[in-house]
Amino acid sequence: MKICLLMEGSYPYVTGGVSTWAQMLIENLTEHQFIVFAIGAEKKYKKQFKYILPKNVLEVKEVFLDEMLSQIGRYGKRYKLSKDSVNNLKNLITGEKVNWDLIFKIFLENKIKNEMDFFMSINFFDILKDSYEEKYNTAPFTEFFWTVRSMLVPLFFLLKIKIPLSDIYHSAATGYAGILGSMAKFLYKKPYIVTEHGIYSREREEEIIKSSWAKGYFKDMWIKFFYNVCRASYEYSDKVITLFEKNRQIQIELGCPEEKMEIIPNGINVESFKENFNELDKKEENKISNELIGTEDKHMLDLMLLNKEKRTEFINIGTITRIVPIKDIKTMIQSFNIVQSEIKNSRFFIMGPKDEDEEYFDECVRLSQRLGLKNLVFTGKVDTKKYIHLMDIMVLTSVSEGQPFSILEAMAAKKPVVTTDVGGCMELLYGRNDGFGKAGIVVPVMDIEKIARAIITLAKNDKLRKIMGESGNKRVKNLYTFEKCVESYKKVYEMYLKKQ
Amino acid sequence: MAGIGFELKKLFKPTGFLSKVRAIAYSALVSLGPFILCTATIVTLIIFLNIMKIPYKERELFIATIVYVFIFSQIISSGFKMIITRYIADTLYEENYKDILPSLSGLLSIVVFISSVCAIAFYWYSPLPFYIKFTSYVLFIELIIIFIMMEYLSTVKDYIKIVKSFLSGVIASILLSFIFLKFTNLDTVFGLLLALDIGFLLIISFLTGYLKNFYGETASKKYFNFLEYFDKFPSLFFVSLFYTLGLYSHNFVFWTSNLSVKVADTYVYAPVYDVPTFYALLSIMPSMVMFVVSTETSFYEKYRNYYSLITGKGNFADIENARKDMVRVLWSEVRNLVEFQLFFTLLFLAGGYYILPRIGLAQLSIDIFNLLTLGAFMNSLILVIILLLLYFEDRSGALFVSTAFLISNVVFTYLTVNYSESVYGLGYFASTLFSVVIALIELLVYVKNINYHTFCGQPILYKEKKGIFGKLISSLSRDKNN
Repeated sequence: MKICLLMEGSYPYVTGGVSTWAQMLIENLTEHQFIVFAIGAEKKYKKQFKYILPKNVLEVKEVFLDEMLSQIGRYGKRYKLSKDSVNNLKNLITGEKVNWDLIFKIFLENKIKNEMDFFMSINFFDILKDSYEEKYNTAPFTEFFWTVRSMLVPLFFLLKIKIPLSDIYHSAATGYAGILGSMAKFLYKKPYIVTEHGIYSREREEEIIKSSWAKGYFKDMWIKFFYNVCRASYEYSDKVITLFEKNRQIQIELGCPEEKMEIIPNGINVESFKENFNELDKKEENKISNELIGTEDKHMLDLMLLNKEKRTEFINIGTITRIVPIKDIKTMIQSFNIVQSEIKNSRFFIMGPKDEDEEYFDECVRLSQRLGLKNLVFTGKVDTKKYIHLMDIMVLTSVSEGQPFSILEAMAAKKPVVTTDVGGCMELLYGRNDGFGKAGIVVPVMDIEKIARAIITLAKNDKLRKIMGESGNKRVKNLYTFEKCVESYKKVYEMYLKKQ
Repeated sequence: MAGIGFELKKLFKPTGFLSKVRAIAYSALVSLGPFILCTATIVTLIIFLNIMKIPYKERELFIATIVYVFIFSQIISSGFKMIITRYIADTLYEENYKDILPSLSGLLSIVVFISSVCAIAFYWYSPLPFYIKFTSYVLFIELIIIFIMMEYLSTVKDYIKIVKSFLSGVIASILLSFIFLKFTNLDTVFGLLLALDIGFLLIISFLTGYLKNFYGETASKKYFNFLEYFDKFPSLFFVSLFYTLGLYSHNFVFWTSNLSVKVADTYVYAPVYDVPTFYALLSIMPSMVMFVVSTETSFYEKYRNYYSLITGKGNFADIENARKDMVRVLWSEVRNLVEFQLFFTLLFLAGGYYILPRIGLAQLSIDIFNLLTLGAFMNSLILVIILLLLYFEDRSGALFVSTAFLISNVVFTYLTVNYSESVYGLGYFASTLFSVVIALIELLVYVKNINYHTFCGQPILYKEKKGIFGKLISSLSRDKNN
């Protein structure tokens, strides 16, 4: 059977939770064939896949945002639009509730041959002008025009795209990918499933509020637009899968019908996290030494990791993460500073690629130097399956998360975790009355003091670390295995395939 | 987390509206200069010929030569002039001063080649002696060079120097012709043409000196980059070409009528019709100058305000008010022009009544002159509206108007030629009336929707449009790099 997997800004261009999930799904459901429909950010990433595509991927259809925005249209056209269509297009701009049936129809009826022509048509300029007068009439009109354009043109582009025929449509987010799924459902009447790893509309909202590219008076417009877009997925999908209970509650709040919902958590291969070595080989050691930043004594890293006895003289505190603002590495570094002053034999390892946001990385390095953090190492990208076993405590200080694989991995490796209370982290560590006990300590977001306290508590209590590590391991083994995850999706797919 | 929302950015490239408008305006102004001066020279020489009692045959050959040289140099240079005006404006806006003069060399090499091919083809079977053909050819090429150079000189804006160089050339021509006719045994027509050749060569050298002085000796190698503008704005070329063709198309129709005369087995023309055309067109010169000068002061201000609100932070109400303000001034400018032109038209009609018979025009020519002068009245409006449409970047509208003018002029004149002598000139009159109505409607509708045109007609994301010429240039420059 053919499944069309709709991805946005993730697989197969970027590594991370959603991509890991997608790769795992495809790899393990060899009885199905997959069409990957990927919406990427920039054209320069075309065919730049970070993953080896499994054999059951039939094709990867790629579209890019910058490509959508750089189209050329002919202006001066006039289209026949019903009054309802006009009102719905207006609602898209002003953020009122949109009837997506009508929007899909406008673009499917083939009256509009080219979406840029439509955007630059006489009718649409009138719609734009009316929306402006209704709600934004004190804002600079040119800015309004360009904002609406960058907001709607990608949507129009996607609405005009020919979606490959498939038996099931499965999007990995609401948002633009969800619009494609909703449209496929509307057009082909095939089942449409959405797995929401985070809450797309909430994430956009946070991003827009903080952003500098959206001007104050248009932030509200952008936010409402994304809520409208996400609402389509909740409306058209047959099933909304979420990863944990907290998100399920939010989705219900956002208007997703409860009966559509199911929780399928992420899963990992617990077996592969069994401790399987003690020593680092010489090559690996050199690699780390070369990338050493933030420590004054290069020999220390050798000493601390090479041999187990030396290593255990210290408390090794690690994090496996991409060094990007959303992970709030700066807060982590400041917490480490407090920990260091109290636990003299503590050492810190930030493990993950440095090149994703180089500016932010530099800021982090400067911060640690200013604080005089001696025992902090940015290791760069490493084999997490090896390194995680060299740690005593794992930390995560993100400001936004779904259900992070790094926590699942820590639990699989029997390491206690300190994490901020975001996404599904609390549920992972404390469980939902599953009797496995606590696998770590949950702390508030950006609370430097509390994060430090939690680490210190664990650092001082050898026994507690062991207990928590075991608890986590048990929970992962029982609830978050990839076998379980794959099995659940298998069932979902089969149910819809049988129905057809 | 997944999502590409954060990649959205505002994309906007402000364009140099103002520089373009100024360019069009100055170009219109400076093209009038050589036209008037050349006219003055030729009229002086014709008076000369009358005074010196030169035989009719020779006088006729000289006038026919001048008519051909003058009309066809304008037609051939017209389209190129408009393209190069835009190229110069953009190049200056981007401050690439070193690219200016190379484009002049490049453009002249192309236009001179095309004109030479036309001239050689034209003179191939002519029985005229070679020295006459040659001096005529040189005059033809010189005029084309001057017309094109004027587009460049409009950016220098040192009008006194320009006028001085023209005056010196004109004086040299007149003195030399006097000397040649009085003191040498040169063939009359040859002598006059030679005198003009030398005088105009003097003008060209002066102008070249000014340009070199202004833009400096250092220059880039971008000789043919302006050709990209044929890909970008092909309509500009045709707007100007069709308008200029339209201006003389009624004469061409008359050259096929029974009024036509064949001179020296070479030139076919219709002096009974062509001479009044010439005087009639003179009547619109003052108002053209007036229009350019007055838009520069009042209209330009409103125009700038409107576009700066758009490129700046104006809300829609402000933009709409600025639009209304601009449109109001626009129409008041047009009204002023009409009144001003009306005055000169009446002056010319009255003046023609007294003067034309005295300089030997037949009654038929005077009747034609009256109709043509009334036509020229509307012709001035057509030209102004085409310029205004180009100010607003309505190139397709401008092309529509100039095409309508060309076609209607040919068709209506053809109808009158075959009807009767009494309606000669009515074709041009009807054509200008028809075209001015079209032009007014186009302008009216366009400025009403100008907000839409400005927002949706501009390239949404600036993207180089590459056609054959652009590809040609990039392939050439690639070769150079290798």
